[in-house]
Amino acid sequence: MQHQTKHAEFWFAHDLLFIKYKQDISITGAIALQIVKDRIQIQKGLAYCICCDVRGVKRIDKPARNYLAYEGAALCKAVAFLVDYPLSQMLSDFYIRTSRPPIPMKICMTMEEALTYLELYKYV
Amino acid sequence: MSDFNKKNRIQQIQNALIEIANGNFYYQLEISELNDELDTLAMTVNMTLEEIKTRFIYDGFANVNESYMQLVQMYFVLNIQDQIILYNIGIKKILGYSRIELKDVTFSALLNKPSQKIWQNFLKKSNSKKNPYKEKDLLLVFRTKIGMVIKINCLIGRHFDVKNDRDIFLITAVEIAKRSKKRKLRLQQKVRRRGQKAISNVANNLKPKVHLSTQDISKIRSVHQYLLTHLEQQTPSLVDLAHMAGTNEHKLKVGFKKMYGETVFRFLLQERLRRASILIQHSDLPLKEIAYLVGFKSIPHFSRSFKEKFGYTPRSFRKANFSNSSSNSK
Repeated sequence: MQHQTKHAEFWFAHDLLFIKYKQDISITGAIALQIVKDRIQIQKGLAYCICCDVRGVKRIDKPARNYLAYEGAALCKAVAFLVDYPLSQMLSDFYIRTSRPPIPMKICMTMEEALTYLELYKYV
Repeated sequence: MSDFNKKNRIQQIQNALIEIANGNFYYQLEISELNDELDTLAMTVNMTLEEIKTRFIYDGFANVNESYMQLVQMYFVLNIQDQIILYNIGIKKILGYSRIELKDVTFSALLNKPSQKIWQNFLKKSNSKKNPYKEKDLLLVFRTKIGMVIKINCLIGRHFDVKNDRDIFLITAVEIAKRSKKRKLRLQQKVRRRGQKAISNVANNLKPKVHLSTQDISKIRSVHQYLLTHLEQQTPSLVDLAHMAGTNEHKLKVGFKKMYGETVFRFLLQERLRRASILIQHSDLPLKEIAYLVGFKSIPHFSRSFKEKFGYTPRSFRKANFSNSSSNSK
C-alpha cells in the first residue's frame, strides 16, 4: 500500500519501508517533524529497515538534521540512502558524518546496492 | 587532468569541510601544485583553518544540538572627539545605562581601563595625518552599570558625514552566543543583584581544570556515540565506559560534561526520554513496551522521569497528544 504525503511517498515491499522524498524539497525542522510523525504512524509500532530515496532533496537545515538523526531514529533498524552525484550524495554524507545518527546507514548509488545492504539488517 | 582526479580533489575539499563542521581544525589539504582553481580553493580552506585555529575560543569541540542567538548587538556613532552621537536602543539593556546616563558621554567612558588605552591609541592614530585608519577591528571590553564586563570584537569605521561636513566613527559589535549561555548569564546577574555569591562558580574555580587533548576529545566522542547506539541496553558503569574508550573515569566524567553540558547518565536519561516521547506521540505501542524499547528497566522510574521532563505522565502525554491530533484533524 502506498501513502502519499505532502513531502514524501511511503510504501512497503520485501519487508522494507521505502521512502521517496518529493522533487526539489528543502527539509526544515518542521518538515522533518512531520516526516517522522508520518513514518511512525505508517509503521504501526514495528521497526523496519528503510530505503530512503533522497535524490529529490535540495537542502536540509541544521534543525532538520538534528531531529532526523535522533528523534528520527525511532523504529529504524538501518537506512540506505539512495543518492546521486553530487548534491544528494554530499548532503547524505554530511548528514551521516556530522549529525551521526545512532543507527547503521549507508550511501548507495543504485537501488540494487541499497537492497543488498538492507538485507544485512532486515531480520536482526 | 582527468575528471577522476578532479572529482577526487573536490571530494578531499568536501571532507575537509565536513571535518570543520565536526570541530576538527587540525587537518590540512594537500596542494597538488597545479595552481589551478581547485588548488586555490584548497589553499583558501587551509588558510581558513589556520585562522579558525587561532581565533577559536575553546567551548568544547562537540557538535552539540544547541541553538544560537545574537547575545550582544550594538552600534555607536561618534564624532571624532569621542562623543556618542547615536546608539541603538539595545545598548541601554545590554550595558544597563539609562538614556540620561548616556547623554554627553564619551565612548571611552563605557570601556574598562585597558580598553580605554587601546581606544585612545586608536583615536590618536586615526586622527594623525600619516596613514590614518579607515577601518579597524578592535577587541574592546565594555563595563556595564552593574559592574560586569562584556568583551566583544568591534568593527570601527571612519566615515565622512556629508550633511554635517565632518568625520564620524561608526562602531558595530555583534556576538553570537548559545541560548543556554544567556540563561546562565541572567541567572548570575540575578544572584549578584541579590548580593549573594555565585556559589557554584566558586566551587568550579576550586576544582582542578582538566585539559582535553584531541585524543581525549575523540575518546569522549566515541562514548557519546556508543551511548546513542546502545540506548536500549543496560549501560556499563562509568569506569567500564572509560576503559572501553581507553581513558580514565575522571577524564570521562569531567570531559563529557564539558563537551556535552550534561553528565553521562543525565545525557542518557534525556536521550531515552526524548526517544520515548516520539513513540508515545506517534505510535500506538503500549507505554510499557516503549519504556523497555528505549532502555528503562523500571516503569515507575520511566513515569517519574518522564513527568519531571515533560510535566505530564506518559499516559496523560499520550492522551493530550491524541486529543490534540483529533481536534486538529476535525
